Amino acid sequence: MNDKELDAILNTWEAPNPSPALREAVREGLPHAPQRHGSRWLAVAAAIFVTGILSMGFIPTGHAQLADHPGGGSFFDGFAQNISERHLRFALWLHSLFGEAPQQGPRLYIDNVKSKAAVEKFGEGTGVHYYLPAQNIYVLTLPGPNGQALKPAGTVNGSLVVFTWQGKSYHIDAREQLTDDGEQPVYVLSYADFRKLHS
Amino acid sequence: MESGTEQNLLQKARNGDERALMRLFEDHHIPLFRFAWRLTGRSADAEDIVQECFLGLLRPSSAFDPRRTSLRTYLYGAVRNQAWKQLRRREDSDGDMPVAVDHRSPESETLRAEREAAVARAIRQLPDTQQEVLILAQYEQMPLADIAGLLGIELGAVKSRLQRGRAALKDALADYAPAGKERQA
Repeated sequence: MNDKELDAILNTWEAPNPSPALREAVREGLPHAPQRHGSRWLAVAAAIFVTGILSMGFIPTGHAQLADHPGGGSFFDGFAQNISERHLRFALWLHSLFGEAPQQGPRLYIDNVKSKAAVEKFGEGTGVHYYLPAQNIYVLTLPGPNGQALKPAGTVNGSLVVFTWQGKSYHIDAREQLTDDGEQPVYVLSYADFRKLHS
Repeated sequence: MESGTEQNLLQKARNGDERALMRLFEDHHIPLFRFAWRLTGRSADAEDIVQECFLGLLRPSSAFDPRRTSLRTYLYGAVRNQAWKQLRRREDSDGDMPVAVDHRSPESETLRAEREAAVARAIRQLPDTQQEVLILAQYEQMPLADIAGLLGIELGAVKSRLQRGRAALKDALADYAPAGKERQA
């Protein structure tokens, strides 16, 4: 074999492209920009200031509350509580606008676009058992013995099973009807002790 | 891209500029992923490695020094280190080494898929030192001098590893050469 022939053979080994999730994962790893933090705190400070001004306008309301609760503290206690509660509510509202709650659990992408649809996980340990309620999809792996996974390798349609394993294409003509509902996936497990499982 | 521009982008990315980070990502991630995939044989591992390399670059503790090396070469080095670490961990745990083959091939291309698997296996059987040189030179078209810089070895050593690796592959893949096919027939 000469160098040219070797190059031709080596160049048949093509790499796939990375998934879009990689881009998203890198993007999400970006440290937050200082100026974004600055603007967020500025917004919170401005909100507190505005709420304070608004609360000042409600002094008569605070006074009325005091009148409704004759045994309940001084006018200034009620006023302070009024302002404090408004600050709290405003702060919560602001947090809902600007805050980024840490997201736990799986993320879903549909057609490479991040989706907010729910992904429910079932079971513990390795393997996949997800249910996507909005799409009514159940996704799973098929675990084999000793933790080896069954791998999707091809399809069965009618009496014909077609699959690829380690670069080789296999066809099994069952000569009897195996499926009635059209094409279905078949899975392959490479397991040396398979016979022992069934002996 | 000029190294000065890359430096600017990197600085901006470290300050939280998403567009700068994504520009760097777009410029480099595909070859880095390919390299990681060929070394590890698994897309998920390759993606983890590339992600870690980019995020590592943003950390203040990153060892990247533009006076010593280009960003691309530095990232290749980071991918290489991560990939070998990953492989050592895998060997310790289960010894399972998948053959990296892109399963996009339709069934009509069975022969091609088989040849791809054979190439992947043959390269995987080379010593690590020959594998990485061959992948960088053959698939990433990296100049041998850059490979020497990346691996911290002499240019002569790179040439010798590449030569030995290619010689071993000629033997291992002899059946797939046109003459070999004729012999098989």
